Amino acid sequence: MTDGMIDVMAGDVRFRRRLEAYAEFRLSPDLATTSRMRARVLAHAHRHADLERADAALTIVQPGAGTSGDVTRSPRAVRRTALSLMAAATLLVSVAGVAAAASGPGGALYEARLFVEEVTLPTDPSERAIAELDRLAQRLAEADAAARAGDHVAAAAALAAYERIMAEASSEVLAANDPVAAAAFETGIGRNVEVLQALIAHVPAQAAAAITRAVERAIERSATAIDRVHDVPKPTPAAGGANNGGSGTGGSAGGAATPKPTKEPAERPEPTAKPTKQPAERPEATPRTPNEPAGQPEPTPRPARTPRPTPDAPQGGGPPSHQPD
Amino acid sequence: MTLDETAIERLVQEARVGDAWAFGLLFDHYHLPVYRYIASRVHRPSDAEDLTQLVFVKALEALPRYEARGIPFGGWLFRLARNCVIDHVRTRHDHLDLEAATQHAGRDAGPDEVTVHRQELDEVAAALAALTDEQRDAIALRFFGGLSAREAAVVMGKQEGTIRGLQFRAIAAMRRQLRIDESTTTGGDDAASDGRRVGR
Repeated sequence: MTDGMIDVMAGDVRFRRRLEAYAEFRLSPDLATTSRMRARVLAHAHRHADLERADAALTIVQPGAGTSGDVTRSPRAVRRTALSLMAAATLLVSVAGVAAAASGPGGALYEARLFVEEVTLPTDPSERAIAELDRLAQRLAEADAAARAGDHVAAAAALAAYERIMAEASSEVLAANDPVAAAAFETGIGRNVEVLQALIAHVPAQAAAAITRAVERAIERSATAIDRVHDVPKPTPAAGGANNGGSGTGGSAGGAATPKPTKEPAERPEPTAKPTKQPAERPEATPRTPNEPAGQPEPTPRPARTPRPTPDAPQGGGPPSHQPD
Repeated sequence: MTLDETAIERLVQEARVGDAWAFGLLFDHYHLPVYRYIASRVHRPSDAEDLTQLVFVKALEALPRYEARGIPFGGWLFRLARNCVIDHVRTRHDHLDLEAATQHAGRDAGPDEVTVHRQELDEVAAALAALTDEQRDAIALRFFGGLSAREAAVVMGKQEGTIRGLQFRAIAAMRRQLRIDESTTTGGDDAASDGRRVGR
């Protein structure tokens, strides 16, 4: 028997085709099977890579490891390290669980949690504004959960945190003078006001007074923040700028507004009557006409404010899309 | 996916230092022949799936100890696959006998399968099941795994000539069982290249 004979026999067309067909139809994984296998193997690969990196970090930390010249680590040592890491991770998860329980509104670690959130905020103004809105939404969710549970202490803590974060965030947005950040922030706070108004309706009777006061105060602060941020130039479409925003014209919201206990956001697109608190008139909600000179007195003067374009001034001074209110 | 030996070695080096993406490419390149080899050696498709997954996980963990000293990565991977299959058969007493092959053959008959004559596929399964364990191993490595005779010899821990002998006897037995007339032999194809075409 020679290799040539084997090759001739194996080269038999019919035999080869039958084996090919068998492999194709009987021995091939379907797409779902392949996907499952790939996902599991790659998940293992990623975990393995993480362990390798952690192991490498530990190797660097141990100063005496390289002194004997035996740099390579035995599989047993690697396994020991991996087990240590897993034990540490388990401990960390346990501690994190306990910490999470204490970090709820009014809890001992709540302020620490807020601090951690704050220091991990992004630096880009628009990203930071969106991250702050996320934080505010979390505070509202906490307040809502606490209010539904009748825990007025937790609700008050969450709402107090909401007010503080909003004050800081609005100051940051004003200081950054970033139109995207301002637009996002103003819109987000407008939504928050609606959430807060809805929250009052869900407050249980036994804690109604305390929580309602806190919510009203949060609405008031939200409206103030919207007022402050409102005058930052926004990236609005060039056409139809006079009607953009609605409340800024004073025709819909400002003109129809009557003295109300609390404020409603200036940018609300539907300034129809609400079952709850309605906005008070805002000083800047007075209509501005193209002939109106720039520099209308504002309720909260800001040093970094971009001057509004006037009919006499060239339009290139501000953002191209900005239109006078 | 087509990768040459240089690209595979580079991916292996990257995977050794914890590059999961590189290992994913290696999986993409080898999973089909490995799966086919395993599926031809075990009873259930679910076992083939589990074992294929296990082979790659073992490969990942053993990768730091892998050294390409005469053994290409593919051969090394198939050696892992063969060991997994042997362990599986030994511990679960799961081997592909004639009855099991028929059951195996009877599953999942789709419309495509009907068009290529399901009965012919059943006959191939039965012919494979009638081989000795070593003959079936050699055929599976050569034709479904796509290995050369030399690579199959490395995987099975035998001489290359021994593998060719096993292959010769296996093919002859299968041809008899499949009633394939030798007069249809073309004689122009190379066995190794045929094996690769089926496997890949």
